[in-house]
Amino acid sequence: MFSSEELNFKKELNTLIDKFLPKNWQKYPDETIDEHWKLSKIIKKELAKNKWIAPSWPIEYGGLNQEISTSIILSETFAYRMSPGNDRFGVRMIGPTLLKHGSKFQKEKYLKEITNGEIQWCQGYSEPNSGSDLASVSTKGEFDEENDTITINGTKIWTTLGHRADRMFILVRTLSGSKRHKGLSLVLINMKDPGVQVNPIKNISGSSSFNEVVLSNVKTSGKNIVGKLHEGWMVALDLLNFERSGIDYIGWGERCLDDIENYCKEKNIISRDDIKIKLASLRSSLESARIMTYKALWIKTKDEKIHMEPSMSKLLATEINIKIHDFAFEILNKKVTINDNNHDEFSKRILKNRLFFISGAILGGTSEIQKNIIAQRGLGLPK
Amino acid sequence: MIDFELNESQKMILSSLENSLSENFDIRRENKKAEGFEYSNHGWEEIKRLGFLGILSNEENGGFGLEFFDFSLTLEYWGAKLCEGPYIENSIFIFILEKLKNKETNYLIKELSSSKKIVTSIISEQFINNEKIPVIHKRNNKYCVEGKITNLPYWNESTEVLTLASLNNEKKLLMLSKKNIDVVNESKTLTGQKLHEIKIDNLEISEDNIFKNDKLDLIDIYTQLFTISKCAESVGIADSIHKMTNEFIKTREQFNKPLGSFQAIQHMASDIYMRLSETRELIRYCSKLSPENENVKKIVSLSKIKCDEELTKIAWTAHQLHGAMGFTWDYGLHLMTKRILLNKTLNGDILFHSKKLFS
Repeated sequence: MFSSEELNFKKELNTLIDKFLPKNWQKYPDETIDEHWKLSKIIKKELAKNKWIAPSWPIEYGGLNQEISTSIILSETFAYRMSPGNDRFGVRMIGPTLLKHGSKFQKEKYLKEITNGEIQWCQGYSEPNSGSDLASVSTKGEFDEENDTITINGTKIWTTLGHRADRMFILVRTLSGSKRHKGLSLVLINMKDPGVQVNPIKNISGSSSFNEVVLSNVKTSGKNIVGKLHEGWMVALDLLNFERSGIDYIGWGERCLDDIENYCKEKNIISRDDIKIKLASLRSSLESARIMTYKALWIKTKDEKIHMEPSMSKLLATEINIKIHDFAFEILNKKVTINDNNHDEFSKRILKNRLFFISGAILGGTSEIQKNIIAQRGLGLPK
Repeated sequence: MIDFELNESQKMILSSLENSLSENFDIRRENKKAEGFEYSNHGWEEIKRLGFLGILSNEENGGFGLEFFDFSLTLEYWGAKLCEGPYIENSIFIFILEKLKNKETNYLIKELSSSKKIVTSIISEQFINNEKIPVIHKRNNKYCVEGKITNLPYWNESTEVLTLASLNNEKKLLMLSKKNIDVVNESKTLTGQKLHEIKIDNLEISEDNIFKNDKLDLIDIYTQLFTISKCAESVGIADSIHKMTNEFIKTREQFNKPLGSFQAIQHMASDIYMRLSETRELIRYCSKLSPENENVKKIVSLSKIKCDEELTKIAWTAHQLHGAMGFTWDYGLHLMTKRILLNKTLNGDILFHSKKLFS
């Protein structure tokens, strides 16, 4: 699937990660933890030196103009190594959206910030009363034509890395009285601006990876509207399409499967037929999901249309990752649930990850929403 | 480099094949065949007429000179139209003969490509199930073979039999002319395909009929390629099931609405398409690998496991979505389900491939 040059890039990338990641690193990258956040910043800086943050972006915006394969390798390797430093919100969400819909000003300013490894973005889509039904967002953005500013009021929720982020891309209702997907705009704001309040929310795995973000009279320039005013829905959907692929889940799933397979070998339970069948079946589904994520990422580079491949790959990748972790849980059994002296790092990781990965099938559109998209947009079934 | 695009030549070949295979497709005839009233193999005459038997032979040997991946794509269409005939057996044998790069075999390749000679075989089953195979004896500088082969398909369509045979306790690839071979028993698959048991009784053969190569494990290559080919065929069948089901739920109304407008039904239809897509992509990826690739055995096993796990699920879900309609004999969904079940029982089951992965 990859050329020898691309495989060489993978080796170099691993060498870079080796330089900074402590030996026997067993932790899922959680940038809410200060140690991980520090590592993330250091690694991003190092990646930026090589122009590896977004290698498939144009050279003028700090990329290397390379094939999508390089970006795939980057994401997969970071996930497999569980290393902090892989920028999802900047590189994979707002970046490609700006490349497609952004103004010259936005591209010049924001894309270069991302490839310099300096700026953390977060996503302002969900609201306390708008989850799966994204078109019901009620956060207001009042546009003042005279001063060319937008004043934002409302609350966003489930904002991953909101407390670390420098900037947010936010979906707001700019046309007063508009309904559903009409009258919405995608706007870029500075998280350090007055009126932005970030309240952490603790998740099931014990960390505060996401937040509530309350916006009170937050002002931003009209230059920060992505695409046209009131016509942000399609831009927002495009961004979601960039978000979905599930590539990280493939890396995390593969790492867990390799580790649990080695564990089964060490404990000599690999000789059991049921274990062999289970491991082989998981490996088979991991491989097919991997190819689907590659296809989803590849297809986005081919044309402007919104395809159903990203929905399928997101679903498949999150599903297999959970199945792998469930199997690991089953094998490790009480080692995971009872916190005694034998509660080793691997078992701790499996517990934390299994709980955390509940989110995979929810964020970026739940699995059920993805199935609706596949059925209605892909298979042409009636609404 | 990642590329999922089919090139223009592939698209052209597939479109012409699809048109030809669709022309005479008649579900009633297939139903009668399954009942045992009629016997014909849909698609087989078209494949021969269009020259597809030479798809994997070089142009100088009268073929198309295409890659195994191209062949595997044609199998999706072959499967989708429930075609039967020794297309896979013949093509893989040609692929192997081309690998031998042997001047003497070029003549045979030409004969096979032009359907002057047609082989049938059950090598993959003989090898995977470790079946009792014919034995070659050397007496007075002459080779003689004796033994039985069971469940051999496409006897009527072929002129030659390709089999495993044991020579000095080593497994060899042997081609025999059908002449002087007796049929001792006949059975039928659940879709009506005839299978034969044949007896080879001290048949004198030439050394040229034994195929070997010091560098390549021909039997292993044949088995890998046959396994992935049958997977591609099954993917094609599952694709037909998906299309048929999607059409059904779009048009069939209940509660004054199309069935496909209900979310529960939409989710089942999405599942079918998603499982089909991931299986198809894995099989296509596998078909692109060279048989000499170090990972090919692993990917073949993973592909077969994927097919076995997902394609039957697709068939059962399609039956659920069709309601009583799909439960009938006349509708034809049962034929596709049965072909998928039949293919599932070939080329090793999930346990076999799981063990292979960890051996």
